Amino acid sequence: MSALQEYKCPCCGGAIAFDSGTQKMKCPYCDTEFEVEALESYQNGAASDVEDDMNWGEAAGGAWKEGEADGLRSFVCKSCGGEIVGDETTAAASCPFCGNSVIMTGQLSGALKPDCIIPFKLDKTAAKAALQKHYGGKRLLPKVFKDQNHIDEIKGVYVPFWLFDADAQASIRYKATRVRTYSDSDYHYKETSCFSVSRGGVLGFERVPVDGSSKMPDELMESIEPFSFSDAVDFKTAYLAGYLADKYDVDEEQSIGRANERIRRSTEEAFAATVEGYTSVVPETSSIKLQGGSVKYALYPVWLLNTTWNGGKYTFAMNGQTGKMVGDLPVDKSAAHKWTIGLTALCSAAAYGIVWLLHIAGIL
Amino acid sequence: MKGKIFAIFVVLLLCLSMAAPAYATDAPVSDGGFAGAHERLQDPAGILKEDEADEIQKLLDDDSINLNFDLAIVIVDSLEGSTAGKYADDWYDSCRYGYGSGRDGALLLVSVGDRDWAISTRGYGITAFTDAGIAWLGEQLKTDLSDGNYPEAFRTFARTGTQFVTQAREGSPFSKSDFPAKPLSAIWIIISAAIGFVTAMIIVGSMKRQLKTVRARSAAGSYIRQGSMQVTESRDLFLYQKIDRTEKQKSNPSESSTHTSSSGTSHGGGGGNF
Repeated sequence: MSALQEYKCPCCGGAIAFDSGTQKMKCPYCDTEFEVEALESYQNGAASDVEDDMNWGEAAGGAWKEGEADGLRSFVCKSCGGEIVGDETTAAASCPFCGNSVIMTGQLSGALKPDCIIPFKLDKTAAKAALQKHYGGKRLLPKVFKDQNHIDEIKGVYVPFWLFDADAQASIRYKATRVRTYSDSDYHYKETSCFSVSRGGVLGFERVPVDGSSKMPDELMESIEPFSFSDAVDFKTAYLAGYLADKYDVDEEQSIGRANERIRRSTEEAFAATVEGYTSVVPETSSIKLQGGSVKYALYPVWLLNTTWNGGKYTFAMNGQTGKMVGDLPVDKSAAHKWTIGLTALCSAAAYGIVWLLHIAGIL
Repeated sequence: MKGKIFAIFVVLLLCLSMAAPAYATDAPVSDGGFAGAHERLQDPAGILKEDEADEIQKLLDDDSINLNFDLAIVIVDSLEGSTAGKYADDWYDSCRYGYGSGRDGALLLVSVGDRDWAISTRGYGITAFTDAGIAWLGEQLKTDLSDGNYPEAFRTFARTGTQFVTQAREGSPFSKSDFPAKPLSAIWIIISAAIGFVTAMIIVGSMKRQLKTVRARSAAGSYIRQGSMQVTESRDLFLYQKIDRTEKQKSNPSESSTHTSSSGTSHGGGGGNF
């Protein structure tokens, strides 16, 4: 005995039945009619929807060779607990994250050796110049902030990143509509055609970075992206000379979620761009599977600049490879009020002028 | 049907009773002269005082003769079960108003009991009294009619009717663009201030956004391997189609719409309540 097959209306979700009069499938709830073949294909497509599979294989990072980490020293911040690494020549006096003093705890131990590193391309002078440029052209930046502002400290820090490589296999179904309007002598017509659109395929991602330091805000690090991996080289302790390195405290397992989120979003965007010629496109189901996933552990160069003003702490970060500078600045509230009042007066007068012109032209 | 026949009969009777001996009832209609057989002001309801009636009568006669275009006014107690438009057409046809072969003219009917008014036009009247013109004239009449100030409403009809005919003969019948400009409402000051405030907030908001440069990235578009995208499944399946229709708005206010009266002649016009 065969199982009773129930079809659901793609339009309203109600149970649908064959209408012998029209020889079509007809929804008794919304009265929409479907060709039998179309509904069957739609139903088969819906049945084959699969769950996401976004697991990663292969552990990142390597073990230190004997004697390789001997020249590295570990420091701990007494205030925020941040753990940083420097070579034996580094005289780290203060924490790059919170500005408080750090103490050396001895030789580096227990951390993985990075797979690769992008060495600093820009120096401290470039970071200072970039900060001045960052202040420019911002009308609501308090003048005193710009004038009085002295950067407390500028630190070149190698920030730990987990780099995720994978091919994302996507299978996405959209509900799309195409609207055509036309008229005859009596009526205006709006013809809405509804389609079930399926797209599937593969999209490759390489080295999607996720910040491996809990002390370094994720938003700050994502804001200075992208880093170009073409400058990356195999890690050597010599690159740390004169700089600090943050020791990762968010492992790859904890970072996977963020990488998956970004890969999913980009995959969905890329496939949505292939659905063309419709008036509206709404995703119905989406399944992303990751294949050949691998993770690498890398150090990326970041200039960190800290300053305090009016009791608030402001952190700026510059991509040590591309020079991209980011960092939230304070708002001059009184200037904002003045601008709001002035612009309101100006725009209101302009709007009233336009109203008058429309009135004179007989439109209003 | 009985009601309609009765209404026509009443109109005919009233017309005959109002026949003015000064005008010959058998005057030829094609001679370009006065073609009507009846007074241009008919007030069987007795609403107007005698001196008012004389004044309006003279006004309509002078204007009609000057224009070669009949301007007539009928003021009744009741529509006798008919509609104002049909009743006005019946009066027009029964009283044989209108100049020349086209029977050019316009008649204003006011039913005091039903608080309805209607304008019936014929011949050149259809061209001169456009839908926009009648709508605008209705607005002018409404206040005086509802206040019971009938003489003033009739003066307005005579004056505006003359203006419509003159304007049409000059080649530009009254249209929407001829509406005299109303004073700009004070509400626009408030609306302009609101627009100004919202615009200022948007601009200041964008200035504030310039100060905020730290933002999370929700996608990984920069890390897509070049040329790695392969679309292996691409299926667009048609499911169903729906057609919604809305009726077109037919009347064009810059033109004159017409209809056929119960006697089979073509009339224009319009009307409303007061």
